[in-house]
Amino acid sequence: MSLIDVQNVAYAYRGGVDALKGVSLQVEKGERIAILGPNGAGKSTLFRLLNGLLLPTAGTVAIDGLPVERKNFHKIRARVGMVFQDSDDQLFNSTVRQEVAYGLAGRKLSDAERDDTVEWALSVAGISGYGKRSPHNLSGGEKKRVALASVLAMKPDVLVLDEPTAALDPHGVTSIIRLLNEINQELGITLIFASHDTDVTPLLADRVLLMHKGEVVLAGTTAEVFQKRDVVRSIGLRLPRVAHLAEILARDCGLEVDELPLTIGQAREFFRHHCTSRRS
Amino acid sequence: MDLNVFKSVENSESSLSRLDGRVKTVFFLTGVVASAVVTRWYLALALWLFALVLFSTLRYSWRYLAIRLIMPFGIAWLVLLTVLFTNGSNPLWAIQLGPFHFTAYQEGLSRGILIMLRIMAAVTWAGALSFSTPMVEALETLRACKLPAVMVDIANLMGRYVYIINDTAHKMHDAQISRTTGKLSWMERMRALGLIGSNIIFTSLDRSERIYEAMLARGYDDGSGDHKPPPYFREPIPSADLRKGILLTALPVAMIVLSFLV
Repeated sequence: MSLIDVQNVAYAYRGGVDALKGVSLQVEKGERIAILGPNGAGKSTLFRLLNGLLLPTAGTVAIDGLPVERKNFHKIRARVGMVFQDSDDQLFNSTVRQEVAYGLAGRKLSDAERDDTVEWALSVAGISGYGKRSPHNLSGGEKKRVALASVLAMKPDVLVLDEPTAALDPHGVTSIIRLLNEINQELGITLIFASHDTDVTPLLADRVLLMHKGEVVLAGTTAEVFQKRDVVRSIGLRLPRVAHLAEILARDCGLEVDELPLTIGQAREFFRHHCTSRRS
Repeated sequence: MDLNVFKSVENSESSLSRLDGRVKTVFFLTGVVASAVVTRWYLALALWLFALVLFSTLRYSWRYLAIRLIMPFGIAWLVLLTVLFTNGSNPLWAIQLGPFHFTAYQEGLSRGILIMLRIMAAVTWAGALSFSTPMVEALETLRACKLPAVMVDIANLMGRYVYIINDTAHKMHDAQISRTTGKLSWMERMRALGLIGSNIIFTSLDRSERIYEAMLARGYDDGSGDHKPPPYFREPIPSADLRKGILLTALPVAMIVLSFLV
């Protein structure tokens, strides 16, 4: 049984806009999945279905066998933590500590247990000393960490992140990528994120689901999906810049390339290999 | 400013929506005024029914109108109850609720029904205006009608804040329930409600300020300079639209006249 099982899901907004049309997705525990697509592809709608913020108009969604239905909302939301795109929409408490403790309010925890959990979440998110500060006076990257800590405190099995690196400076992007990978590897939390930033995707995803106009147009490992360059470009996305550069250089030099590099590390290996063979 | 911005209508399929913005605004606002001043309950009822007919021609779902009117209608019923039991001298009936004794009066009933119907008619006319006419068109018409700039600017600001507050409230509500994993006590719920309420205001203020700055950056004069009407408003009203407007506006005007004659 998959941790997340989405079967032929459709969702139409009021007024008849079909946001999702027959989307299926299976996610296993500990996986890192990227949902890529241009604006209006249905990424955010799909995420809202995973957390029970919306209910599908057709098809089924189940988390570890538990169907996403009204009667299961509390159990589902305890297992699927959602980090919104704009942290300002998510943070509403007056201090970081209260914000992180909010998700624990409905649980029967002693004060000591609650404090320990909050401290743990703050330290995992790398903001241990921020407890007494107001979330509204923090930088974009710090707010994102508070939003993450507030969801981590609930100890979810799955983290659903809508555009986790949007509106962050380069340092913020790097540190959030590192943090999310640590959370995945050390805590075993499954990551599902939506993005249209193809540079970030190879650093953060094992598998990619390419969406366009409410439908899945391509699914596979990150490498497999980005090798289908025409499909990626046809829906208005681009290749990672590293892959694009390698594609241009390979074409200029007349190289036969089976697999384009997607990260700086892969590009270094790629060029080292081709330069060495040229010299020899 | 782009001409299309002012020509755009929310539902171009409807003939009422296609009318010139100035004509529509004057017509609907006359309806609002007529609803507020008629002195007979049956005239207020007729105006309300007429506003509902107008809304039906816009081809929107009735649900949208119901959502927008649910609160003013609630207030209208509250007004009816208050006036019914506090106004008049000829008792109709009496109710004993524990230690409290309530007497309904004949004068209270007729006055309460009139006020309730006036409220319902006026807000339905205003609702029909909002569904058929973009806000910029309505505001520019008010400005062209020489209404005080302060009033128009306040209406503009209120409109902007209402939409932003609504949007912010939806997003924060989603964020809150996505982290609600158990039954909260009454105190916890009240605390969360208070926090979200205050944050909605602060976040909305912040977003409104950014939107206001973006408006200033694109030439909005915030009423302090000489306001230049957009190109669309400098053109004459199409004669066909003008004729339709006069015919339509004659009805609420006739209601006002009738209410003072009968």
